[in-house]
Amino acid sequence: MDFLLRQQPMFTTEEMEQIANLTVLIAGVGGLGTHQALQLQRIGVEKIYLVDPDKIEATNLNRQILYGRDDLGRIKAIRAKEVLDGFGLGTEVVAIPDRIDEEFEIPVDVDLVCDALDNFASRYILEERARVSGLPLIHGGVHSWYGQITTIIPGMTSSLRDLLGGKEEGKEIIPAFSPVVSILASLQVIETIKVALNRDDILANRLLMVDLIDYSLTEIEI
Amino acid sequence: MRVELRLFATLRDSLPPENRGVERLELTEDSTVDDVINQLQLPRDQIAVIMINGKKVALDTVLKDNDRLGIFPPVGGG
Repeated sequence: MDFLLRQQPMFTTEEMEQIANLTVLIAGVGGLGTHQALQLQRIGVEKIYLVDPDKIEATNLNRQILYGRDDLGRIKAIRAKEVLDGFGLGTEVVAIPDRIDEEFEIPVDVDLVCDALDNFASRYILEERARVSGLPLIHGGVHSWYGQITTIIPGMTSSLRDLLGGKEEGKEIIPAFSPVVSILASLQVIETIKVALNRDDILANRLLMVDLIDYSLTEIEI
Repeated sequence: MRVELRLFATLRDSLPPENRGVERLELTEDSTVDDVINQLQLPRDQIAVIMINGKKVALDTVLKDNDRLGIFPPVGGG
């Protein structure tokens, strides 16, 4: 692909091929998900599944960067696919306007799952679906100036539920700030590629806490 | 014994702003993480992960002199 020339020196020919054959499912096409989808398309992955049944609301527009005012009321997954397809970069984008519940079947060609959900109850369901399919899950979450990220690999790491003691976020509205969301989504995409390429120093059994108030990255060995 | 406590993300608000999330504690021997949480009256429903010196630990872990204790809430927006 001609547009990938500038990233080519960072990867071997085989790795570039692995990226070009990669299929990623993005669960949630909100703040994290829209940023992840844009990045994964720019990296040149083969296929992206976008899963989200929700409709675009005005309060989404401060961080969900694939949508504008004219899109209010439209289904996120479908609108996101249209915008991404408009760039013409070759990645196949499939919109699945469904909720991730206990019955959700991850398509068989998915290599890896990116968590872009906005609550832990749904995340615990997602990680179970990923576990059933034997797929790595790249977890990320944000709150105001903060974020967390870790990689869950069935049979190799503890589950997200165990890691967080089954805790969930509070009932209050979670503050969300686009630059913070963007950084966390970018970290998840970097991790996605590293996991897919079997690179060293992935975040399996490590939780990375990002604090953009004091610019600290804190790693917890799990 | 002395322990350095760092509260992360939204838990920072449990300490005065000038602390910037960090408190140096003077504790009696055999104090546990649980004792620290009680002493500072930290909101238990907001505690997801506890770390000592970079490693995840349980609530009943006994602290040692110069330990660096970190407490993290679930960070769950998207």
